[in-house]
Amino acid sequence: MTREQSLLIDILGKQLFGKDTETNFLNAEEREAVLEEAKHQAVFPIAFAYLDSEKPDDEAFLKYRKQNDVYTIAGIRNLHTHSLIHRLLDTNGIAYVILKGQASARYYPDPMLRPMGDVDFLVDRKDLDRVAMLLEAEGFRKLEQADNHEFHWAYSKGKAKAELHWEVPGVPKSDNEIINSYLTDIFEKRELIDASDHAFYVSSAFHHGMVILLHTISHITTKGIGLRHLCDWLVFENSMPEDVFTEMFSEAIREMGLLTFAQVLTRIGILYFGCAERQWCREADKDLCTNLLEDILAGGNFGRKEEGRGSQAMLFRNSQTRKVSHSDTLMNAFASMKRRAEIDYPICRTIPVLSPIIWSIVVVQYLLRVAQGKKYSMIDREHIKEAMRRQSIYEELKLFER
Amino acid sequence: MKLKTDLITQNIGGQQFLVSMGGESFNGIVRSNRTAAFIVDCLKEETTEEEIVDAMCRKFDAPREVVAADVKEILGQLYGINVIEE
Repeated sequence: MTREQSLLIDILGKQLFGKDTETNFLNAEEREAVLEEAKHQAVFPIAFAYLDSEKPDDEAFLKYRKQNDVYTIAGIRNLHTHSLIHRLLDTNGIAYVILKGQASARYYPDPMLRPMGDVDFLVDRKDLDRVAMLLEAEGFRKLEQADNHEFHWAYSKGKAKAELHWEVPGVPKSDNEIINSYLTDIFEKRELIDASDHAFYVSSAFHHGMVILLHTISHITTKGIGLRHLCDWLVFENSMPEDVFTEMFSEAIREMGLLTFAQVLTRIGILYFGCAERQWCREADKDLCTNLLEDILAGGNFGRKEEGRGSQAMLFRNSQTRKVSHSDTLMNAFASMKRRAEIDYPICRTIPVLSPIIWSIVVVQYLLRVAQGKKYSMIDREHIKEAMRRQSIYEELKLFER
Repeated sequence: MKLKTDLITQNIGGQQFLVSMGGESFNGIVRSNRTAAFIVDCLKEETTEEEIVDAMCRKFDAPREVVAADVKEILGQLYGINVIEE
């Protein structure tokens, strides 16, 4: 862990959990290093709010004030888009829930501290076409390539951005009956957040916890997550007394194969962020906690700190099942190639006999991109070594194992 | 005169923020104090400078000429960043 990463974690701990540290009065160089790291980890507004309270007056800090305005603008637009989506769907009698975004932000001491992007919302698959029609009638435009995604379509209207989901992100594609059984009443148990100037539906605390865990797994085992994902879990878990949390989650996350992962995330919070001590996660291995935190820091939000993490994931994650696979890397690479072919050339789903030809095209395209330096080579020794290192961490998390 | 239709306001921590959802004419952020926030709220409906001054005088206990000068200055700033349409 670098010094700026350590300082950033201390600041997040102070801002979110009242961590008692001696991180006071950083010099200009340290502030800049911390804020740059905070951008990579998608936690900029939290770090900025802390450092701004020290009233630094150097010129370098002024540019970060302007950058913080960009986050504030995005947050306000995002909140407005929530209200827009709510009006549109609620007046038309369509059940939905907000995933992540404001649903996560409400657990932060100040919701504006959480950086916002799109509005992700989930609808029942049976309502999908109707919702798409309503969005388009409201002036939202479906983005190019939106049809290629497995479980959402992306839309924009001016500066408003939204993703229409018909599946909870991160649910594996096989052996998922138990997880899906816990999600069946997600609309029935939703809760209305009704403030003076905005309103929207969020899922129940139980479903919200599930959504965070599943979503975090889906990204951590591909390109990577930043500290924001981790903070989303920590502020949520810390929002309720331990006995309430364990009553709500213990049995369910054990059944779903998410117990070790949830324990490790929570214990990272205790070890590094100053979160309150919890008994339910004390079995989490300390070295595994440290290794996972290092992995989160190395990747940054959606892998923006380390190129090639997506290609590494092709070697240890089966993209057909969406699970970290114990099978050999060649099989995983083949599954990734097959998946890419299905996304880029949907015809191979309808005319399977064309598949071998299309797979060949995908392989040639990949090799060309590697030759042009646009893609990382999957057979590079260092690349494979890093992929194996990551795989060993994720295997210890026993994801979806029961 | 009226605020452009793509502008939205949000109150956060007792302060009003004004941003655009379209971003074609204005892409920044306006942080308004209590007086400016009142004027921005008046501009959500079609209004005139005189009507805003009248509303301000009803709301705040201040001499009309002081209020009128404040309104003129703030409207000037809002025109300057292109957020008001006639």
